[in-house]
Amino acid sequence: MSTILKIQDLVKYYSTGETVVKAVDHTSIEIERGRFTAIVGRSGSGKSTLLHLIGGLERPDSGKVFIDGTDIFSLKSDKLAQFRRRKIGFIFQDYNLIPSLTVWENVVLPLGLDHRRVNEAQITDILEKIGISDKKNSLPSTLSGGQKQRTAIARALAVEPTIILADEPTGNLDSQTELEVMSLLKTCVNEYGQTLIMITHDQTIAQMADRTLLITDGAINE
Amino acid sequence: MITQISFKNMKYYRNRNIITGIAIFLTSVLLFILPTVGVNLINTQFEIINRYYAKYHAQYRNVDSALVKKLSAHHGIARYGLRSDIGYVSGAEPSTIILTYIDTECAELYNMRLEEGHLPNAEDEIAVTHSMLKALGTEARLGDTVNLKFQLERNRTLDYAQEKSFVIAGFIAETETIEVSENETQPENSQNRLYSALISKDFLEKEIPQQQIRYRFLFQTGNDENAYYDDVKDSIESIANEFGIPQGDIVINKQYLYANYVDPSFVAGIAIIMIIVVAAGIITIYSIYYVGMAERIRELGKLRALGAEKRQLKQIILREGLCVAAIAVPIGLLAATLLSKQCFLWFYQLYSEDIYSAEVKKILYGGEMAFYHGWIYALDIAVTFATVYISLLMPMRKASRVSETEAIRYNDTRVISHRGRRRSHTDIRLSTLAKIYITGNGKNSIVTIVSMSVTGIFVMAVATVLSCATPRDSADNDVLGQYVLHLNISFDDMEHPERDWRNLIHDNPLNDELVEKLEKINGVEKASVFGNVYTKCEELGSEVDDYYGILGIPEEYADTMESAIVDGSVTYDELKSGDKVIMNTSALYWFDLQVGDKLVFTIDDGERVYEKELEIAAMIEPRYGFMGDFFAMAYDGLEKLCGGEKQYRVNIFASSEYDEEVYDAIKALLPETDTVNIETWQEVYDMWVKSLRMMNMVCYMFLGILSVICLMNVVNTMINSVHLRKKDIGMMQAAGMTDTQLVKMLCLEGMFYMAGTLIVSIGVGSAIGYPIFLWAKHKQIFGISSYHYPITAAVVIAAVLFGVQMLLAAALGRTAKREPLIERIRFSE
Repeated sequence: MSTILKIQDLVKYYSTGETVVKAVDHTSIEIERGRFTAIVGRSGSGKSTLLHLIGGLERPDSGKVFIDGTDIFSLKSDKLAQFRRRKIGFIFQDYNLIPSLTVWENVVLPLGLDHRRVNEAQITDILEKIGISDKKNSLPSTLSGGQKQRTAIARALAVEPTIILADEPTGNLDSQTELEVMSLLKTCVNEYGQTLIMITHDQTIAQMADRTLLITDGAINE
Repeated sequence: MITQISFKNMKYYRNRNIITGIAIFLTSVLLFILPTVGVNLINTQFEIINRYYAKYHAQYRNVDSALVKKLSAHHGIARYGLRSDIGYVSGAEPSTIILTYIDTECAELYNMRLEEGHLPNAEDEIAVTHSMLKALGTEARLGDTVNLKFQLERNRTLDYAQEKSFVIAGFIAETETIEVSENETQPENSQNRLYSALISKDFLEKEIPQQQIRYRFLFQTGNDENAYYDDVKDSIESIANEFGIPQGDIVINKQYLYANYVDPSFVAGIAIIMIIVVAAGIITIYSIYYVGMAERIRELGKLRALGAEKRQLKQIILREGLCVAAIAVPIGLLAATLLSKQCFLWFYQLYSEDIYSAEVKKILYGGEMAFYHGWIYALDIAVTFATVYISLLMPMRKASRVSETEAIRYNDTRVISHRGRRRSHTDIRLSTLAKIYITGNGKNSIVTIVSMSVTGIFVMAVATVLSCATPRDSADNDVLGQYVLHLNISFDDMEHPERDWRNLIHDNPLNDELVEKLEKINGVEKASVFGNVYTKCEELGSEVDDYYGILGIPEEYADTMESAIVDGSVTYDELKSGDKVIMNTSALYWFDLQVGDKLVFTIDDGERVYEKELEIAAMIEPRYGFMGDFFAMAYDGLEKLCGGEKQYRVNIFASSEYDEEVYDAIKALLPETDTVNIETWQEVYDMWVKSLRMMNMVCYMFLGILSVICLMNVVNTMINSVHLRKKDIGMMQAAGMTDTQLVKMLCLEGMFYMAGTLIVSIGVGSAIGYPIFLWAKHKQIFGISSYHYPITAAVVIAAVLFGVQMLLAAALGRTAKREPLIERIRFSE
């Protein structure tokens, strides 16, 4: 299998007054295409920062991140945004849906931003698979937590990204919904052949992954 | 505690409060400059008048010593002075030298100043002017003795000539003296001037028997300084009635009283403009707070849950606004203090002639008159704070209605559709995102557009008037033809009997011979002769004028005249009867007259005085430059009113607007006496160019500041929209929205506000502008006569709005970028 993600000596420190927090400390990893990788660690261990760096949401102090062979931090702001909308799908713990957009509009937003015409059949298919096709005209405020997260998953899948980054996607869900969302994610990843990198502090979920990475004080241990 | 929260809020909502502060600052600046300019226009006018005009309100003539005592004790008389003319000095003919006694108060009331020396005290002392001595063919210095030959008036007849040596006790300053007679200023080179030689009281009492001394009792009434002319006139006549002083012995100093009169419409105009500023301020500040309230509901709900009373929630909003005002108002006052003097001088030049500008500068910069007034500062502070208070009433009410549950329920401050569902857009483009946001925030969008449009409409309406006021139209409206000759008429002017209309109609310089010569000048195409008959009209009184001219319109203007009729109906031929007149609509400002009314005019042609009843047959708009008088009829009709040569005005039409050779040729044909004045279209045009340029500058400066106040609305709305959607925008960027796309989206949203404002402002402003144009035309404001759409103003408004929103979008896009994307995604209000 080919390498989809390559991280080289990545560093991100935060300075809070006199204390320096080593969120990501000289980390290097490689992740293969089509694999489900879980990053686990305690709260404050730097796992979210690592995920944001991988997604280009934050810039590192040093080090490089290659996605599909592209050094994402060599890209200028607009190019990085374009790269992100084509290659990366995000799923956040608190869903981060746009409240003024309907479920459908939230899902097709990255496509619209990329000036791509919407393949209605494909999006309908995703919504049906995810089980929210009847909610496509609903606004996020009327959805349950599970439905919101399903919408966020659909949005991540819609652009057919090379890599999906999920930041504790089940953190706000009850255990029943958590299992449903996880199995849905896994099924979709398998079906669409996508790479999933998920942050979690839940060992049960981590066990569902093909590979688990432990992050402690910003450093990765397999 | 409440003040502390308000203060913290002021800092927390820094951006919004800076915008509010700018609006308050500009409101305060305008509210200070407007009354300062207005009050100082009035004050400097008074100051100049008081320096150069005789400042008595009236004089009673033929007052004996006993009556002087009674009058001086009257409560209605504030100050008085005495003058007594006792004879004439000979030797300066054709000039006239009157031998006069005046007391110190009288000299003050005449604004007479001595160049050197003092008023005569001793019996052989005299005060003169250098030019009077020159007229007598002599020169002398202070203390020198001059020998004068004079005749004194005793028992109402001029006695035999006497001779006496007088010591020159003082020289009267000539330039600053208004002649002791009520005549206007005299030409420097005039050969028949009127002089006064002042003698002492001792001389008066020695030469004229006590019972024969008759004074002119000059006085100021006890009326308020700013009293209207009518009130002062009533007081003067009432005192005269009390003491049996006949009407013919009352001389009212109209020049001074009119000049000291404050036109109530001027004061009302300033007040209306101030109200507009206050309204713009209220709308803007209200809109800024209204748009920002959504963000506050949760915070206010929390405070309510913690036990805050409704009154306290109101106070939080109020005190925050007042805190901002407490900073903005002093800065505004400081800026306005620095700006207002310059603004005043600009404004002054607009309304006054150049000759006064230097004097005004001298008065202002020499500290001779207080320019800044404490009450204006107080007024500014009071009105600006009241503006802020009124603006905050609605937001305060909204704050007081926030319930405890809002803090929990209102976990998303963004506006969400009440239905929870709506038809989705299949594709999402930037324009779709902008549209969804705008429609989702309908109320805020409407408030923003409406509040900006109110000012926009006002700007367009004023711009319509300004664009209709073109110098060419105004000059065309004022002057018919390129050159105008008209008689220089005065009545009861002893110094210029040759200018008396009753004399002129028997020897009229604007005769056929002159007209024939004028038409032969190379470059002159034709000359039209208008006539005039001067009348008195008891029903109209003498408030506007003592004499009312009835213009005689030549037959060639019959069609023009008939087309200008706006009320009633009459043909030119019917006006030949001499029984009907048409009336200029501008007379309606003064008189309550209507078509069909009959007026009795008294005509004095120098040979007989008779009355003639004339019916007002129609009203005519004072257009085309031929209708300067209140009344007119066909030229032939004038023939039936009185005999003599009634030519009054010759309008000369030339092939070019102004040609110096033509002007010189016309001037060469005029008599040497100053009985004919010449006016050119070019002069009037140049005057209008200057006036309108200044007027435009001042108006657009005012409108510009007002527009900046109103632009604060959109600045706030857009900043607010970006702030509230910080997380959404972050999310969109995480989903791949580029910075360029973000700026484009903000531009599209801004475009919506701008387009909305433009459509409403230009649409409604243009619709309102036209009736305003008709009104201005009717009222003859700036000589407006034809409609010109304010295309420049519309383009400038569009360009400014477009430019502002582009800059704003770019600035907001840049500001959004400043914070790391992940921080924005995490952002939660």
